[in-house]
Amino acid sequence: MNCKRFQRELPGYLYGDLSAGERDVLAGHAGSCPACRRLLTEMEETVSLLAAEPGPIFSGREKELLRGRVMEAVRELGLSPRPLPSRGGLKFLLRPLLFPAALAAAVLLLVLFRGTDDPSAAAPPAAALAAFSEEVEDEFQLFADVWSEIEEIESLFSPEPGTGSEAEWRGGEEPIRV
Amino acid sequence: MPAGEEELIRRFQTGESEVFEDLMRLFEGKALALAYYRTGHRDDALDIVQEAFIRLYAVLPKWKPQASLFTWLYRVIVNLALDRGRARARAGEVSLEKLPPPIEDRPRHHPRTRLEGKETGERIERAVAVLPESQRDVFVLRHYGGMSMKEIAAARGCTTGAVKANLFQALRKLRRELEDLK
Repeated sequence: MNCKRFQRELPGYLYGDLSAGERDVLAGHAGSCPACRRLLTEMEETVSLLAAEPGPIFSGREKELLRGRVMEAVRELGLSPRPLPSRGGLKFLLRPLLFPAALAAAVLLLVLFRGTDDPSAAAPPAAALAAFSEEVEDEFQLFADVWSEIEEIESLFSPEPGTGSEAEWRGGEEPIRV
Repeated sequence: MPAGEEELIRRFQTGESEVFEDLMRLFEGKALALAYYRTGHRDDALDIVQEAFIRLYAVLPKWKPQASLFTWLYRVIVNLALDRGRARARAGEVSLEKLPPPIEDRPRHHPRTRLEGKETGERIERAVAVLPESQRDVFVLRHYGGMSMKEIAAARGCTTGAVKANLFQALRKLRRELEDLK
């Protein structure tokens, strides 16, 4: 071991981070090098002096209050220790391509599971089928009405002819599709 | 990762929110020491650590135990302390570290008896406060936080060699500053 390596490993020696073997090597060097021995003695005195003072003291009471304030804040913020569901939830169903399909599926499910209190449920199969197709037709008409309303609203946000591209009109951003 | 940390994280993530208090106990000592020596104000240190713990609570549900939580906390505390320092600077206030060390204003050879107790503690605090930032952080985390060189290196994102070098320089400067106290 040389003096440079002795200096590098000295903090580990002072704080007890070295293995027994490494400590022996350092002590051996200090035994044979007066300059490093002096440095070791001075550093040991410094660490002892520093260790005698507890440093910035935060009382047990201060720490307890700190923990209490943290727990109170997380309760107020409604934070949960369990991971939250993935962002967006069922919002993906509102995507332009999926929205009509999702709406149609919802309408179909609504029609199929309306319950047995419907008088048509007790009707013979042919009559029940006719009633069912009529209901589906009504529901699809409703869907078509909603869709045309959406298109109408969308047209309100379209750029006026001759006022530049849609992207320019929206300040360079990608156009928003409903 | 310190013993027990992984288990506490696992229990927290399965819904035992009360173990977060144990996690805070695990880190509060070194977190407060770091925040105090970064800001020079006790109240700021308490506020910063409180904020850091609240943020920790928010990220913990999705935490993957690949590194010690203190690595993350270290970054948050340092950033919050920087923000606090800027706010104080704008308000025209001066932090502990910006004050001239009182050691410069005093005669070098005080009798030991007159420097005991609180005064010795204050001398040490000032001496630590005027260390360069990297040396101060490393010293505070090792001496007051009880962290290993490897843990400090992980928290600071540097090598253990750099930690050792910073710690050696910090101790050498403290020895010079506190020479008359021995």
